[in-house]
Amino acid sequence: MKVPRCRVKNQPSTLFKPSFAKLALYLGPGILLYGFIVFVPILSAFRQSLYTDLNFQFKFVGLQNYVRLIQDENFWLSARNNMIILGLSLVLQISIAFIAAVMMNSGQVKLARLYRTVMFFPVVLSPVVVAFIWILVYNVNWGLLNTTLRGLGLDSWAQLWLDNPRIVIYSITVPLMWQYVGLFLVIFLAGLSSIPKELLEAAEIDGANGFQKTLYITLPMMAKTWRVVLILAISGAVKVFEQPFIMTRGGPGMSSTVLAQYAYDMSFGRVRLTYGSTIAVGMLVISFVLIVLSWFIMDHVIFRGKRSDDAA
Amino acid sequence: MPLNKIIEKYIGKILVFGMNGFLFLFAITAIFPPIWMFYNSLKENQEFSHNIVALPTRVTLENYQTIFGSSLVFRALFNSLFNSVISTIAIIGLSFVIAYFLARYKFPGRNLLYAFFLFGLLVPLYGLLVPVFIQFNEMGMINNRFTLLLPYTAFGLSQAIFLIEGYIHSIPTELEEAAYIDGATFPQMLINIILPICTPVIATAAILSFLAIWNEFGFALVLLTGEEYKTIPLWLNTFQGERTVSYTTLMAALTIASIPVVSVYLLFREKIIQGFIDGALKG
Repeated sequence: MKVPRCRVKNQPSTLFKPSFAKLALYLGPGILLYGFIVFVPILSAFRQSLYTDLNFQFKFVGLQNYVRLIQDENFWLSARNNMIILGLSLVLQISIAFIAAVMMNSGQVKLARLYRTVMFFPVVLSPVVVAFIWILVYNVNWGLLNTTLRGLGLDSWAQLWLDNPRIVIYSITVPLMWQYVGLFLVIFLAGLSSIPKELLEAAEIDGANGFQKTLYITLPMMAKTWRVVLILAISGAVKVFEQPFIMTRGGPGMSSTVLAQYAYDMSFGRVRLTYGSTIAVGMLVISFVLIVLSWFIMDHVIFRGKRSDDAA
Repeated sequence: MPLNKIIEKYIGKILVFGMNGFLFLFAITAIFPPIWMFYNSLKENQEFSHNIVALPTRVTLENYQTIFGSSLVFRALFNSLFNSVISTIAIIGLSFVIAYFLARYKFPGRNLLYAFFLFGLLVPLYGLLVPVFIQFNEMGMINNRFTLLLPYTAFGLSQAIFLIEGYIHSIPTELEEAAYIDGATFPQMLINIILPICTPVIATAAILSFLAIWNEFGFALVLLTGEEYKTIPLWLNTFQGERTVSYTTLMAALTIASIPVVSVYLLFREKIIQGFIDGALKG
């Protein structure tokens, strides 16, 4: 067997030349564990999805589960709920985070550092704790939200926030945005601070106002930051599970069921593990399609040819 | 002063005032719900139902006594601590070595390995809930003391590897050269030279891993079927729909579950924020 020569990137370090056996010894455990937990389950889920276990009798059915999945209204209903969460997160959460970051970066704000610490705080809380806090906020009779609305004389706005199938998915989305807006904020702040000050000063001398500076310099200079933010928003919205699980168990009906919950219910509620696996595979496919699509849109539509390398 | 200059000056002032107001509101929105939860956990339930917003007129630890009156909370605290500490140590050990090789060597399959671990940052974790359950179920690994250590360690690897790898790039290779000349073996060099230099980033990676594992709910829910090994988030889940527990007691439980996380955040906030930023930008 050919012993791979560990060629040097930064010269001297490879004075230590580990043999292939050593390499395997050092890297092996991590790779094996990671492969066992992340990749093998995906493969075995795919294998499961080719079978049916109706009445606990295993039978190979080929791609029938996928045919069923594509025609499954409940699957698309759950996917639609994930999409609503993603849409709101893209429109509201990200714009709030971006606007706040631009303001905090302007140098006109006292306490910017304290604000950053405070606004990031919810990110480290457990999603389960956050879900419970918002159950209390949404309580019909005495919840923080309805109490505030009544206090403001807006009695008619007070609602059954978690029991009205028309609005429940939005009620679920608010805590999600509340918790993670701070994450997007600090990422934007990092991206903003990597833009050279000279560039903005030059634009100012040329007579650009704050809005123009943001539009023509800040936004395009942050291509990489936007890419990261998009991926975070997409994978965040696709994997949502705890908040609806704790707050509503996906109800009323299926009005707040998301993909992860649907796969969970199918597998553990109805004990249809084969179809549950099919849903899980569908969920992974959806999220990768979304990520690839967003990269494509970023590269070819928004930042056409402007592959600026802002700092990592 | 010409009129337009004066107008400009006032518009500027109003803008600055508006910005500060917006950010102040934003900050209050972020911090008020957890604080509200905390001070209400110090109220009697009657007082809470009387006025949900006011600060407690009489501070009581009754709710905490109710919680700590049961052994369930101690068991859950122990289980969470057990999982978090052991998995974090495993994550750091494995990811440090992998990160070193990724940062310093070009070997066949290096890029593949990079992509392999990058996948872990992109995959929607809860898409793996059912697949991981099926696998663990088939192998009879459900519901024991060590069940959660494997997924928690594996899911923590990607982030830790990319954080540490980025940091090792900034270490000059002359250090390894000197170690080589002085006759150090590879493991000696790794442990005595590189590891101490990496302390800051290892601390960051460890803190982030600890937080993530302490808070994790989905895999614990699916992989633990019995009562014995329930972690803190699972213990909280038992309060859902539980009519015998008063709301103020629930808030005390939520506060207890959050104390470790909040303390870690207060102590290491800059490290944590920077870690999240670096972790995200690497991905």
